[in-house]
Amino acid sequence: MTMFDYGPSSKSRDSGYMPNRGYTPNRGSMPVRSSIPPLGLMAMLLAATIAMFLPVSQAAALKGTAARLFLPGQRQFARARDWTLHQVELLSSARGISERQSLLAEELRRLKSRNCELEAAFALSRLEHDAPPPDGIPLLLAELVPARVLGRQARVFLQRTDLIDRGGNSGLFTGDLAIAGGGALKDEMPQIDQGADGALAVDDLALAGRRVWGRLSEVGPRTASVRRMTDVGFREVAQVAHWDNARWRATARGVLEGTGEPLARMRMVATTEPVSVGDYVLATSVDGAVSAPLIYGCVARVERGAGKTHWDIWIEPAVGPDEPGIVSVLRLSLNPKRAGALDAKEMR
Amino acid sequence: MMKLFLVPAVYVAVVLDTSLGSALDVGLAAPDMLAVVALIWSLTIAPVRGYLVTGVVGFVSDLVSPGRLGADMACYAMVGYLLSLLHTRFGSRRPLVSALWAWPAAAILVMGPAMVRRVMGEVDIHWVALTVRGLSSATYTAAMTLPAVCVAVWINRMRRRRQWV
Repeated sequence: MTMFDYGPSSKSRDSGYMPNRGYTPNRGSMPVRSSIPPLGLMAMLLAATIAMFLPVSQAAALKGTAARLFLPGQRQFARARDWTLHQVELLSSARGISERQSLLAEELRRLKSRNCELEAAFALSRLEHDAPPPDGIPLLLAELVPARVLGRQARVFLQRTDLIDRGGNSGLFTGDLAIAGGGALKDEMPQIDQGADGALAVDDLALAGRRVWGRLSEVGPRTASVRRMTDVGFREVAQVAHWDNARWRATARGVLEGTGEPLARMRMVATTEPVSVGDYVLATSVDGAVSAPLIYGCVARVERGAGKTHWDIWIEPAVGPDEPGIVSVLRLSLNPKRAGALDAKEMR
Repeated sequence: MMKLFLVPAVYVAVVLDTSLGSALDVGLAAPDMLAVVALIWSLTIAPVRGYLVTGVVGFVSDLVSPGRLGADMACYAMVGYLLSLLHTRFGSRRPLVSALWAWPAAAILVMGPAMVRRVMGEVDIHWVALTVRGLSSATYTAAMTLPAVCVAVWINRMRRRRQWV
C-alpha cells in the first residue's frame, strides 16, 4: 500500500480525478499521509541492500547475462557508427573530388588558352614558311599580336583609372571633353588589352588560333573593342569552302553579317552556288597576306525562300559564345625588304 | 501507450552509455543516459508507483556499471519516489517545475551511486573532484532531459484535452 491511497470516490470527475493522471490529488480532501515510507519503496531498498551484499560471483553472473543481452545492440550501434563515419568520409572525399574537378577545369581553361597561343604561333610560322610569291619577296607581312580579353572587373578598373579606349582613329584630340554615359554598346563588346600602343588598327581581325573571333571596331591607346562576328553591325565578305581530299575547295562568296543572335547570317550567295550544311566559311579580307585560311565558322542551316535567287545561310561561329582568354590580332605591315628595294630603285 | 517505450528506451540508453565512450563528454561532465530515461519517465509519465519501475531502471544501471550492485537501484528508487511525492504534493507537471526538479534529481542519480562506491572504497577519487564532476554531469544530464520533458508534457496535455473534449 502506498501512502497515497485514493479511494474509489476520488476517481470521479467531480472529485478532481483526471484520466492518465491517477496521482492527481483531490484538492478538497488530501489523501491521508503516513510517516512510514510506502511498502514498495521499502522493498526496493531492501532488494538494493541485498544486491549490494551479493557474492561477487553471483553479481558477475548477473552482469555477464546483462552484457550478453546488450551485446547485439552494441554491435548494431557500432555498425551504424561505422556506416555513418564511412558516409562522412565519402562526403568529404566527394568534396575533395569536386575541388579537384574545379582545379582540373581551371587547368583545362589554361591549357585551352595555351593551345590557342600555340595555334596562333603555328599559324604564324606557317605564314612565315609559306611559299613566297613569284618575285620571291611578299609585299605584306602578317604579324600576330597576342592580347588578353578583358573581363568586366578589368574594364571597370580601367574606367576608374580614367582610361578611355578611343584615340586618334576616332577623331579625338588633346583637350577634348570626355562625357560620361552612352557606353552601352561599348559595354556589350568585349575588349582586349592591346591598343594603339601595340600598333593595332580598326578592322584588324581578332583570332583564336585560326578561327576568327571578330574585328577591332575601336582602338584606344591601350585597349581595343572587338566586334564579334555575331554582333550587330559586323559585315564582311566571306567565302564558302569545303574541305575535300585534304584541300580547300572554294565555292561561293557572300556577305557575312552579325545578327545579334548566336548564329551569324550570310547573304548574297546565289542559289546557283553549291552550299551545304557543314561547309566552312573563310575570311577573305586578308587574302594576299595570309595563305593559311582563317575560319569564321561552319554552315549550320541553308534555306531558300520561294522565288528568291539567293540562299539564306546561317553560320555557326568557330569560336563559341564563351570569350577566349587570349586572342591574337592579325596586324598587316609592309615588308621592309620590298620597301627597301623600292627605295633602292628610286635611288638608282 | 508511452509506457511501452520505456523498455526500448532503457535498452538504447544502455547501448549508448556503453558504446559512446567519451564522445558526448563536455569537459568533466559526462551524460548518464539511463538517468536521462529515468528522469523523463519520473517527470512525465510515471504513475503513483512509478518509482518501482525507476528502481528497476536503476538495477539495470547497476548491471552495466562496475562495482557492487544495488547503489543505483536504491538511488533511482528514491529519486522516483521523491518525484512522485513532489508531483502529488504540488499536483503539477508543468515544464518549468519539472525543469526545476530535474537538476537535484539528476544530482542524486549521478552522485548518489558514486558516493556510495567511494564510501565502500570501490573508487579512489577525491571528494572534491567527485562532487565537481558529479554536479557538472548532473547539470548535463538534466539539460538533456529538458527537451524530452517539454515534449512529453505537451503530448500529455494534448491527450488530456482531447479526452475531456
